Amino acid sequence: MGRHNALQMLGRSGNPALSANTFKNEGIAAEQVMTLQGTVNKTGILLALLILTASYTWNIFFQTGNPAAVAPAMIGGAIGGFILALITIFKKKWAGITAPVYALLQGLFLGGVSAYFEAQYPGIVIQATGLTLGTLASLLVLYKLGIIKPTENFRLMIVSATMGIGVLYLISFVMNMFGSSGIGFIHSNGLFGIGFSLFVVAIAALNLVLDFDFIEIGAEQGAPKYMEWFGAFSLMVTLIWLYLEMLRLIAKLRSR
Amino acid sequence: MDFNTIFFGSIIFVSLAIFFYLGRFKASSKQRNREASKDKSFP
Repeated sequence: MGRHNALQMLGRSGNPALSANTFKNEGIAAEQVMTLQGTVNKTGILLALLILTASYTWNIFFQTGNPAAVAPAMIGGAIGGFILALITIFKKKWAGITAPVYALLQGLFLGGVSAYFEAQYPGIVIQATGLTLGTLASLLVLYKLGIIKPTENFRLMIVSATMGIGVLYLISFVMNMFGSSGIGFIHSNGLFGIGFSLFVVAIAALNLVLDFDFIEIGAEQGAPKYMEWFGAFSLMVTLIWLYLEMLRLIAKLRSR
Repeated sequence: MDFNTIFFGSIIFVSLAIFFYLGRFKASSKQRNREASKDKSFP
């Protein structure tokens, strides 16, 4: 498969929310067009919504001290968030409604997961949040200055690695469902486990560069206004993944 | 407030400030020049 054909098939971003045709199929709006300012504002709104519901499950966890008390909200948030993500990807025009609901549902899930990790490793949540947002800011600076350029080879590498990680996680998940311990080393706190987590964190972080590029292209090409919600949603998907991987990495390091 | 909270809290604050400020601006012309960003290592 040629390099260009592969990119055409796999999309320009490892983020499943973004593909080669994301902006192509949306047409050019005559009046209200996508802007960088609008996308940044909407990312802020999604972050605020996520923190709102995350604090709900977080408080329940620490008030009851019982992980089972937040399990329904967490599972509901995870499954609901996944469904909303799929709807947003296939119905981009609905992103103005589906993206905020997605953020609310993912907040329920993240609040519970974060509380669970915090109970085991006090202070881990602020460390993971700081490293996630620090990575976001650093890569944004590097992208804006043109120091990191998402070339075609760069994109192909990130897309391939992201898909590889996805397949590995899926295999591990299916093996767990059938009673196996899964692919042991990816969850271990040994050198291989930590090395794997570092690799996944790096790939998740580099996906942010592809998100920035897609948002930049959308604004440059005058995509419709609702694509601001879609761009913000795409950024949220990557940020949530990066945050979860940061949590796993720090937990592995601190459990040694 | 312990050192962990102050240190990582500062990173969160500064990072969000950078994102909300810098995110509004277009990337440098060096970045936006699509032809220049194409990889020419393969024919």
